[in-house]
Amino acid sequence: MKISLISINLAAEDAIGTCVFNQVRFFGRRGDDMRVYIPSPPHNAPADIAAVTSVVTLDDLLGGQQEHFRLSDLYIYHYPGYYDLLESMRGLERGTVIYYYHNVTPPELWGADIAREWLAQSTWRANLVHYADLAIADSPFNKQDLVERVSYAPDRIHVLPLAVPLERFTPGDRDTDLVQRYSLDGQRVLLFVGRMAGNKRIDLLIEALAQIKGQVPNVKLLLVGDEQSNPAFHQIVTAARARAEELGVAEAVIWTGRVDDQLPYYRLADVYVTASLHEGFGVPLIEAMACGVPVVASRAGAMPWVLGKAGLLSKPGDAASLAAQVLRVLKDADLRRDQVERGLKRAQEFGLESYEAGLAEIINQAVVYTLPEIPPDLSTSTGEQETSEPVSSLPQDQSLLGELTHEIEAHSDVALRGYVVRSKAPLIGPLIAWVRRNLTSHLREPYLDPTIERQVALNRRLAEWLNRAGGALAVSARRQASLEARVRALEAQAEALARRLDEEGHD
Amino acid sequence: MNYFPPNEVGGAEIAAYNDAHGLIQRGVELSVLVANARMPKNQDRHYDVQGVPVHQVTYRPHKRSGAFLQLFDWRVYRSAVTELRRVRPDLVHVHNVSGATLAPLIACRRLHIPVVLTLHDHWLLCPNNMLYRADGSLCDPVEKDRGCSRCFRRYDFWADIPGRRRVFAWFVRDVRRFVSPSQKLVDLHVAAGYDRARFCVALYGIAPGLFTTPSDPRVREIIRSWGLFRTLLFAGAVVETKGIQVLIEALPELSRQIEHLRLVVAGSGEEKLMAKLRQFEPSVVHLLGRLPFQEMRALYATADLTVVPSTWYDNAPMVILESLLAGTPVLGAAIGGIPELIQDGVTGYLSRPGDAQALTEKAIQHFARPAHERRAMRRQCALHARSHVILDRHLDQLQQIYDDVLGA
Repeated sequence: MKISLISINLAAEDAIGTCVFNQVRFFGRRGDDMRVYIPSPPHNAPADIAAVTSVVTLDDLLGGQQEHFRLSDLYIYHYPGYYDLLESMRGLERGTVIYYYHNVTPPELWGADIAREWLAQSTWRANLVHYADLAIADSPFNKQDLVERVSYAPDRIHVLPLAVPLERFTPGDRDTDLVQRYSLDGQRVLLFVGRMAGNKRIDLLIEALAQIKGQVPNVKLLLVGDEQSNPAFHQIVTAARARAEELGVAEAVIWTGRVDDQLPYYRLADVYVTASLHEGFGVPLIEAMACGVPVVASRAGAMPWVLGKAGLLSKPGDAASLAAQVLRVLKDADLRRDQVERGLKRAQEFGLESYEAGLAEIINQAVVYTLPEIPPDLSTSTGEQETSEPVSSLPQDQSLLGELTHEIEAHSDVALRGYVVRSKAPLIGPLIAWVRRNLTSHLREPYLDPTIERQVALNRRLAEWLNRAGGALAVSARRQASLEARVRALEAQAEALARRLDEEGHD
Repeated sequence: MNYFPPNEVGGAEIAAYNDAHGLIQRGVELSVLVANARMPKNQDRHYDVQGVPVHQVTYRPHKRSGAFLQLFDWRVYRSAVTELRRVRPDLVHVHNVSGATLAPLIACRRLHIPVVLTLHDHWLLCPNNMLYRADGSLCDPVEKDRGCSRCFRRYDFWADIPGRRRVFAWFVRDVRRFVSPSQKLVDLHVAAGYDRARFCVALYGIAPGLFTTPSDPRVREIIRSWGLFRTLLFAGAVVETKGIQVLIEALPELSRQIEHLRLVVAGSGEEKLMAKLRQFEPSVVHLLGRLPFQEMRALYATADLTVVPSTWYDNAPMVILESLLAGTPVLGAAIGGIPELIQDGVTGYLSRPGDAQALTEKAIQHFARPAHERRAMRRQCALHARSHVILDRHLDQLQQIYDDVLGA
C-alpha cells in the first residue's frame, strides 16, 4: 500500500513528531511504501525518517509532480494547527483520507499576542476534517472537541491514544550529575515538563510553590521545556520570573530550557505537577507515571482521562487547590505509594504495541479499496541510455505487424458478411432461393452459424495474439537494445581503463 | 451449467464458479456437471478448476434439429442421470439451462432430487433469452398476439407464446426455488404467470481478492498512466444489446467537454461496431479485446467511471458489481436490474437507455464535481459493494435457500 503522511513539521522532541515517527516505523515494518510531506525541513529527525521525508509546497502536491503522493492509497493529515499543505486534501480524487486531530490551543488561553491569529485560524480551519473520510483523535476530549467545534460525525472519529516508549521510561535512581548541577540534594522536587506556553499556566505553578514552601521548605520546582523557540514563550517566562521574584521563591524555581533527554529529569522528581488549562493529550503525564512519579494535574482537557484511576486532580486555575493536592502527596507516604502503583499500571496502557494494534485496526477498516498496482515498466528499468540509443529496425517491424493484425481483425467476419442464399435461375430464382433458405434454416441456425461465428472468434483472437506478441517483441527488443548499448558503454570503459593502465605502466 | 471456466465465460459463469468455489471452502461437498448440447464436438472429461471438480459433457447439435430437441436432449438427460446416480446429491442447483436444455431438470425429477434453478436470463420467457428484438426494441413478456415471429422466421412452437409457456411451466414444475439476481427478472417472470413465492432474489457474490497484475503491455500502459487521464471504461461484449452504439454516439461530445478523456473498451464483438470504435483517435479509444476477468480488476480500479449503457433488460451485470467493489462509480442505463445496483448520485448515475444525450450529461456532471466529492463517491461504492455484493453474503443466502428446500 502507498501511504502519504502530511504534517506541519517533523521535530524529534515534540509529541506530534514522535507520533509521526511511530507511524513511519510501523508502516515501514508492514512493508508499506510511505513518504512524509512537510512544509519545512525536519528538525533532529533520525536518518531512517529523514530518508522518506520530502519538503514540499502546496503547489508541488497539487501539481501532480509528486508521483508518490498522487498515487497513494492512504493519506494521513496531522492537524496540530493550520498549515497550507492541508488544502491538498480538497484536490484528492482517490484514496482514503484520515485526519489526525491533535487539538489546537484555544487562542484565549495562549497568553501572548504572538501567533494568536494563527491559533484562531487553526481553530476554525479544523473544519477541513469534512474533506476526510474519518478522523483519529488522541483522546475522547479531542474527539468531543472535534464534534463541538466543527460538528463532525462522532461515529467517524476513532480515539487512538498516543504511544510512549515504555521500555525506556521506567523508575530509576536520580542522576547525580543533575542533582549536583541543580543542587537538589535533600530537596523535594516538583517537576513540570512542557513548552512554556500560556495554556500551561506556569504562573499558577509558581503561586502554588509559594504556598507549598510555607509547609515544606526544602522544595524546588523544576521546569523542563522550550522557552526559546517562540517569542510568545519568552513573554510568559519573563512574567513568571518576575512573579517568582515577587513571591520570594525565585531561587526555588529552576528553568532548564529545552533538554534532549527528559528521562533523568523524571527520575529526579517527587511529584509531577501541571496547572495546564488545555491539553489535547498530555504525554508527560504518562511518562511521569511510567517513571513511578505521582501526578497532580488540573481537571482540564484530556488529563483526567489520561490519568484514569491514577493521579490527583485539582481545580483548574486554582493555585491553592493544586498546592493542597501536592502537599497531600508530599506528606502522606501511603498515598504516595498508592499513587505510584496506580500510575505504573495506567501507563502500561499507552505502550507502542497497543498503539500499533489500534492503528492497524483503524487502517484496515478505513481502506475499503486500493488503487491498481502499477506494473513494473521493463523498458525504463534498464537505465537512461536506452532513450539516447534509437532502435533502427524496430518501428518498421512493429508498424508492419500492426497493419497485418489490423487487416486480419477487420476481415475476421468476412465470411459472415455475404451470407445470403441466392439462386441465378431465371424467373423462379427467388422461389428457389426461398425454398433453399427454408430448407437450410434447420441447419443454419444450430450448425452453420455457430461454425462461422467460431471461425470469426478464432480470427479475432489470432489478431489479438499477434498484437500481443508484437508488443512483447517490441519490449524485448527495446530491452535488448538498451542492454547492448550498456555492454558497448562498459566495453568502451574497460578499454579506456586498459589504456590508462597501459599508459601508467609505461610511465 | 452450460459453460464453466476456464473456457470463455461471461458474468453468469463467473458467478456460478464463485459460488461453487466458495461453497467448497465452506465445507460443502460439491461437484459441477457442465452439459452443453451445442458444442462443436462430443466430449466427456473430468477436470479441476482451483479445487472445484468439474465433469464436462458436450454434444454436437442434432443433425435434424426440432423445437422439442432444443427443449429436451436425451443425451444430456442420460448423462445427467448417470452423474446423479454416481454423485447422489441431496440437492441440485441448476444454472443457465438453455444450452443443456431442460433435460437435467427431468433427470432430477426422475431421481426425486430437489432442484434450485438460478436464472441468469429470460430463457423461460423468450427463445432468444433477451426479450430483445433484432430491430433494437424491447419485447413485453406479457405480449401474446404477435408471438416471436418477428425474431424467428419459422412460425413454429417457438412463436406460439402461450403454448411455449405452458410447456416450459411443465418442465420447471418441480423446481423448488428460482434464484434471481435481480428483482426485475422476478417481476418479468411473475408478469408472465409464475408464482412469486417460488422466487428468491440473491444478488451475485464476488470474491474480493488481490489484483492479478495484467500481462498485456497495453493494459499495463493504461494502468501506469492513470491519473493523467479521465478514464471511461466499457467492459463487455461489443454488441448492440450492451449499448456500445450509444456510447459511440456520445463520445465526440464527451471528448469535447472533458479534458484528457479516454475510453477503454475491454471486450470484442461485432465488427460493425468495432470499426466505428477504430475511427476514433487511438489516444481517445483504447481497444483491448477480451481480458481474463482476474486481470480486469486492475482496469476497474484504474477507471474513473464505468459505463454500462445496456439496451436490453440487463439482469445484474457483473461489470457493475466488480466496478463498485474496485471503488469505481458506474454510469448505467436505467433498464432491467441495473437501477437496483446503482444509487443515482451516490454510487453512480442512471441515464435513460439508448439516450446518448442523457449519458453525455451524466458523465459531464460526474467530472464537473469537486474532486473530493468524487473521492467520497468512490468510497461509497466500495463500502456499498462490501456490504452488498460480497461473496460471503451471497453464500449465506444460498445456504439459507438450500436449508429451506431441504427442510421443507
